[in-house]
Amino acid sequence: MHRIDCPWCGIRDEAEFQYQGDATKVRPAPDASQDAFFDYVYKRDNPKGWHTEWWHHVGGCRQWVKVVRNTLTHEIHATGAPAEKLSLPRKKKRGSK
Amino acid sequence: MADFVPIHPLGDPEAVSKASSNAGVTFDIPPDLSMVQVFARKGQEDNVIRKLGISDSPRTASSQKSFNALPLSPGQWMLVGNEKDSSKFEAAIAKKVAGIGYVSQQSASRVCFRVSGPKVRDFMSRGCRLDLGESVTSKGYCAQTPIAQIGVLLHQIDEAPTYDLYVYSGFARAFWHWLTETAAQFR
Amino acid sequence: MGKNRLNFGGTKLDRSKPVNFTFDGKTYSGFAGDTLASALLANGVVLMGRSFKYHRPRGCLTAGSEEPNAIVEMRSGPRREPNTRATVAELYDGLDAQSQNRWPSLAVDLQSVNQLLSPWLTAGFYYKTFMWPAKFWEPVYEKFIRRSAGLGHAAVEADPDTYEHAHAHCDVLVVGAGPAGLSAALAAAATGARVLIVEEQAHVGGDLSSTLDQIDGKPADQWAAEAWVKLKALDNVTTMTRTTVFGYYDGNVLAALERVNDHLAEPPNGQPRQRMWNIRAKEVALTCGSHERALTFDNNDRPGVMLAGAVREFVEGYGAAPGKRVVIVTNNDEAYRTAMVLKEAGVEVPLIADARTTPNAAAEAARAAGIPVEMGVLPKKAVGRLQVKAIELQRVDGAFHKKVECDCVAMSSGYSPDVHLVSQTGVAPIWREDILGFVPDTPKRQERSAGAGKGIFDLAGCLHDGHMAGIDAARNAGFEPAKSLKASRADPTSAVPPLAIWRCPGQGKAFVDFQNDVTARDIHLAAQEGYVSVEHAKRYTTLGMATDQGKTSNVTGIGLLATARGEPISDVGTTRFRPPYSPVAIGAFAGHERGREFQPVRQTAMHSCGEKLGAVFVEAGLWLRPQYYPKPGEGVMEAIYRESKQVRETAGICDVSTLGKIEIFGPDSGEFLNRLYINGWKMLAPGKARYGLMLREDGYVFDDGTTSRLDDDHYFMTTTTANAARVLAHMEHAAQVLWPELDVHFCSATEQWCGVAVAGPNARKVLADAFDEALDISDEALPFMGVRTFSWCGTTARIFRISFSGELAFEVNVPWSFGEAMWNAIWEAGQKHGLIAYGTEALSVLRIEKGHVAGNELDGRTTAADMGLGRMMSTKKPFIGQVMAGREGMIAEDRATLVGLKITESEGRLRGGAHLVVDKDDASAETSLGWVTSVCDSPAVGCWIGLAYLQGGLSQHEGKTLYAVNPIYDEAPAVEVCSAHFFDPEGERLNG
Repeated sequence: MHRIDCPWCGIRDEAEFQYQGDATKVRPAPDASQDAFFDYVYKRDNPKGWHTEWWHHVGGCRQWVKVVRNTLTHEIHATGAPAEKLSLPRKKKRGSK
Repeated sequence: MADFVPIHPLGDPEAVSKASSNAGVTFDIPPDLSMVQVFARKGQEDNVIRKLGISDSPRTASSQKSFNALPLSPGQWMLVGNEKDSSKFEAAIAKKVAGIGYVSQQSASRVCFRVSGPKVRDFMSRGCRLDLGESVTSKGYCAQTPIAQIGVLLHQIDEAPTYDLYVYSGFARAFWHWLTETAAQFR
Repeated sequence: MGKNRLNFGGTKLDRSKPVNFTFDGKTYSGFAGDTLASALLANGVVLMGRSFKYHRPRGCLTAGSEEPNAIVEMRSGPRREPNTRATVAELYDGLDAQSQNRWPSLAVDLQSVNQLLSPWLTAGFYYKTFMWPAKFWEPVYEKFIRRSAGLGHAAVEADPDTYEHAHAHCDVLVVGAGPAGLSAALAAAATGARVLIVEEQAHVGGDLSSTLDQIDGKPADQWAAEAWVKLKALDNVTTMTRTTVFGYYDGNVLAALERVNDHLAEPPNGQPRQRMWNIRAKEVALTCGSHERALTFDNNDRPGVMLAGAVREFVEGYGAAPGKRVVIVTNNDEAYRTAMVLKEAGVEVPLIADARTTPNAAAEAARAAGIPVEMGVLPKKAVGRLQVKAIELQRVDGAFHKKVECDCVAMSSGYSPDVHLVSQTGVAPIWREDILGFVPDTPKRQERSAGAGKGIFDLAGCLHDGHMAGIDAARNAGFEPAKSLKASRADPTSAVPPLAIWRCPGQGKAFVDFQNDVTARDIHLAAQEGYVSVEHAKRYTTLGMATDQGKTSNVTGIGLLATARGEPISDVGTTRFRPPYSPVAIGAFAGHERGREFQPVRQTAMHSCGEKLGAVFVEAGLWLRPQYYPKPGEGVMEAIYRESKQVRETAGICDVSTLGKIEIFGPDSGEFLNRLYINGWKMLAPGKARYGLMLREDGYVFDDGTTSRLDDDHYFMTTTTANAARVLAHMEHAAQVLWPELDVHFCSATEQWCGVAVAGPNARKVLADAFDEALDISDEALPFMGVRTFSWCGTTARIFRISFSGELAFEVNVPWSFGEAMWNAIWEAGQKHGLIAYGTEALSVLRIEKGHVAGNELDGRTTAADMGLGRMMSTKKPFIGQVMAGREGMIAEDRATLVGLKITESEGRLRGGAHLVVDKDDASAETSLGWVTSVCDSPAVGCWIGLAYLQGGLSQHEGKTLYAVNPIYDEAPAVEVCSAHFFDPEGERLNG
């Protein structure tokens, strides 16, 4: 079970959150093209390794929390409020391609 | 016109809570609480905190003479007052934050279950995922967390410890059922 | 007292408390503290079960939770519980156990003829035999397999006991209270860290209950008992017994099952039978010990052939002699301890046969105590059927050595560190040839192993290692130990390494996995047939796949596979262990969440008003809503028909409290609503309500509802009951993530305000009487789509002139606690105006007659235009879903759009889900033109009507006859396509 550090509530069980998908997607401007919106709505990478995601703390403060999580090891590197810029951990030299 | 009175979601809460209390865990349903949710306008968070004389801590309630302020999320608090007249309470708080915030009347939306007793920590561990250890939380501790699948606003009001558990009124009966059934083992 | 009960030992017994129990209908006596297995042995009963495949007679192999053989059915009636291990079932007065997997009796099992078929029952038997014809699988093969495979019988009735979940937090979790675990807990506790120590058995100390060693100058068992008392007394320590940690999950969360009342016939009042713990540990010390392995020789499964450690445990721990004459066969030093305990207890040990040839101190000590030892000797074959009578021995070179009479064989092939939990974290165990065992590799989580669990088998080493693990765990959790902290001590011992013997030469059946009847030959066969990967061999032979998860058998199996492959064990590796470590009842996983408490029930403030009027309730999400109010003798359809008819004739009241309600504040509220809804909100005047429709970002319709402007910067939104939570989450995303710059604030008010709809020609009269002087609801004071706040009974109420039914209608909201009072006031006032209560079914009839969309039409695949609401989409402002709603497929001409349907046959009815076709004899997915979403028997129209999505819509099909095909009911009524606004299309009735 993931333990997620909500910036407001502190560390909480995964069960209190709803997974809300890819947090790297930015909503296009309202007058952007259909292609831009198509990309925003439907296109997703499926990364093996570090990924920035939304976890909505519905069982707690109801804030949307940004989470940098490893999809392979389930390790959580960082969490933050929506406006925060979270960086991925630096790649280790060994094993990186 | 008939003289109608508000009816508690549990019927007669006092009789219910007394009948269900036992040696290990005790229940009380405090009457006459007024609740309003306060929102700070964008950029006015500090002013609201100052005006209400409350803390900016996300996990600690601040006690004022006429209310406790329970933090909910950034710029939002639940103010709970020992005031029978909820409209009066709402008006008083609204006046304080006029121009810098908003209030939403919530007195009827939640029911407060007050839980205490020598076995209360063991009791809470049966449903609450949070660490309520003696060395971890103290008077004033506040959190929102589901207990028995029901959203709870939790407030530790003393070092006994006693917890006030606020749940949405629609869940009051279901939550009460869980409380009493789980407490049976602590008789 | 049983005939094999010793006066010696019994450290786990309370001999002052005799306990009666029955096994297969026969009554026996034991003591409090016994397990079913130890009590049976004390009574001279060694035959406890039949094996899974061959139905061979079996006794217990072990004395603990790793038991593969002695699997019994406990209790009866609704508490009947199959597959209970007799070695962990604690005795209680009146315990009733039955052996499993035998017929007609344990001693005479007719299915043991399977043994004669055994040449065909080898590895992969099921896969090879039951392959074809495929149609035989279910009716023939599966029945045969189910009947033959002995897994006991589950209870048929609902379990009368309760189960619960619980949550724990600690700095240091110690798993297992053997010498290493106790030592770790004492060390960690001394630092001030919060320590939780969890022990699987009722008794702590692990192996210490059956050793003659001393710790800190005291008998080891006494040291363990004192350590436990000391730990229990500490404020920063929590102790749990009868609790098995069965899973190690992400986030350093571990799950444990506490058998709170399994040791009693029934849980005392109010207490659960079992409790499932979720433990969040900063650091973990895994001191899980090790499992002894069986030697693989012919007939090594005969009752009376046991693991040497188990024999020692039965004698010393339970004072129960598994036999009167015990031969010991071993490849290691540990089994000698059993000989010494037996000797001490006065049980005859005619011989220790040690496979090794190197001289060792243990053998010298045994000889000095007068026990004969022969080196370089292996077991060849056990003799006897229902109980071992003798053991044939052989030299290492395979030459017959001699036969020794005995009634018990204590065997040992060395110890496997228990690496189950650490393996669950993704750590692959690594092979150590010197101890013939897999040990944990470098941790991936906040854990460390200690003691026998990492291959340290001597007592002094375990105490020291546990101590160091406790300190390390505490330090990593942020607690510094005092320098003076010292570990408990025992005399150091030096062991001669065990000798690898994976198969003692022989031609007969030599079992590796006792529970699944996997023999040495099966593993050889699997390798021969190409299943050389350990994961493949496991699945092909079922090695390690039984309820014991191969605790006693995996390593031997891997050793045999390595031999067959001609490779070292380190190259073969282990299979990955998965939770649970030992079987966990489904009831424990469910906890409270079963039956009516599967999910919490949500009730409205007026629930009891509905109850008083005899409402039948329906689940709407978690809510219970009155579905209809049947009069005595009235059927469902009649009640619904009457209610919907009456509302249009006089007036009806309906509980609409479950609608989602959201209070919205702030100067940017109007802008925020503009972006959420497809229509505009900034021009809505305070005191007015408006119908709104929301899209998802992909352009499809999300939700609808009425939103009112109560003040310049205060709006009040309603959502559908079903989507209330989703809409709130959607708005939070918008406010927090998309447009944090907007000064807008909102919260749920669903349970602040309860509501009723009062609809029908007499609605105004009813409300005027109910609220009399409090309220003016004349058309001038409250026009259609008007909103007013008023004071009633000292509280604030809101009234909305909105209509879902098409009638003159109002919705009144009061604080939740006034709900019952409001209902009663309206109900009393309404009696002289013909007011009735109506439920969700009549609500639905009324809205279908008006062509209003609801959940059935908002199915996530429809656009605003599909619903006939395309013109609501503003072009003057951006909103969520706007761009995607313009995609080619979303605006295609041939989309199915909303129409009405009227049945044109006098008999029959319409059903939701039916498909619309031109030719009812040519109904297929290809010829379907659309589907029916909602139907009702309409009093206003006078026949069955429905709403449907139809390709080409009204423009192409109005007035045409189609067929509503429903293959499930084999119906295809003819329907006429018409406007969805069946009743009062001009909307004149809104004015009363």
